Amino acid sequence: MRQKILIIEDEFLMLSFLQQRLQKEDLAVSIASDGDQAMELINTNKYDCILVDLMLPFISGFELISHIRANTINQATPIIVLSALGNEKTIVEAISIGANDFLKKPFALNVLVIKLKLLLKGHFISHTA
Amino acid sequence: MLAQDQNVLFLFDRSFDHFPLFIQIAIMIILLSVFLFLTGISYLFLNRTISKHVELRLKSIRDLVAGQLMVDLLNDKELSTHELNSWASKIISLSRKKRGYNQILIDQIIFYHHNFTGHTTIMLKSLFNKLKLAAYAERKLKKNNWVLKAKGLREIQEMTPITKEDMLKPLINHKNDDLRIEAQATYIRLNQTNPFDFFEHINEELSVWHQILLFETVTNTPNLAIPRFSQFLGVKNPSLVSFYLKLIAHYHQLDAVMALINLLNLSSALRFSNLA
Repeated sequence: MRQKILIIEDEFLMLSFLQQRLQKEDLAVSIASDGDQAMELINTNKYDCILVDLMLPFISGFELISHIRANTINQATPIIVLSALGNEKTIVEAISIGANDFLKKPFALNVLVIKLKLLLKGHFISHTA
Repeated sequence: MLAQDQNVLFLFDRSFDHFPLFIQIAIMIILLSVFLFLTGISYLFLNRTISKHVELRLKSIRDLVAGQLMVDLLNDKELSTHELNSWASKIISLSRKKRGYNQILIDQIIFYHHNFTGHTTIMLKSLFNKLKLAAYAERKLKKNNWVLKAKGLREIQEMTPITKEDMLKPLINHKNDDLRIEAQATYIRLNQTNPFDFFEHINEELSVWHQILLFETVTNTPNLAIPRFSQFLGVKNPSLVSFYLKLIAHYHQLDAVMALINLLNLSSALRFSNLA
């Protein structure tokens, strides 16, 4: 069975590009373009990994991460943050509230793919331990 | 008599000439207002319809370009020259048929260029060159509209390694602030061997905001040849001296200490702003 990924990103081009790229890795990719949409998907579906942007309409990426880690069926799902906000404070905050990895935009696609594969194999520190 | 009856103005005169003058004037104003209102409404309606049509056409081109770029960039392997050439010729033939295609292509290539590094960036730059989009961007520098000129400059500095100085230099002292800053930033980014030589020809004061933008450009451009800024401190433009001082501090150019001490002897407002 194919592993399920959720991409939360408000830039349409980026979203569809990542969706097509990850589908090539034989992953079942769902997408959400704002915080509300993402919240609905997170509450109703179980994912193997979630890629999230921090600057989103309606609900920010930080709030989404906190919500995922608080009490959802995706509480233990690894999360990768993809964001242009790459300063030390943002990275520390994102990881401390529950993100497993952080990729600052611009990033290399191959790096994202390899990080994702490692996370899907279970190479990450669990935030629920 | 029949000819007179057929004359619209005559009918108008006959219908209203028994009213007092102020009523006639009021009727004229009302008719004129109704006419202007209807013209305005028609103009808005027409404008909306045209914009909607243009937006739909651009959306279909946007999707087409996005689809093609994705198919190309999704390739994990590097494209061979032959593959790249055939892809480029397909795009070029499409761009001749569809208006707005080139601009959308540039916008999307720049968007991906902002968001990705590594192999994808190399591919995007290669595509940009193959599709001769630099020439398209450079054509904007010859337009009269400064917004288009500034857009062209941004596209050039983002995607091309070099540009023609003769096109850039006239814009460095342009009367429009935004365009001037964009031109100076482009010059710094693209002229990596001697990026500061245009400062000699700057006549205008650099505002604080202008200095911040140039400072960001200088400090964020990779592989820029950074000179000893103390050599420029003798210029007569106080805002330039102030800008150089910020760079001296940023790059810890300790050899500038003597030049800085000399600046302390200046009895102008410059000294205070520099010390601050």
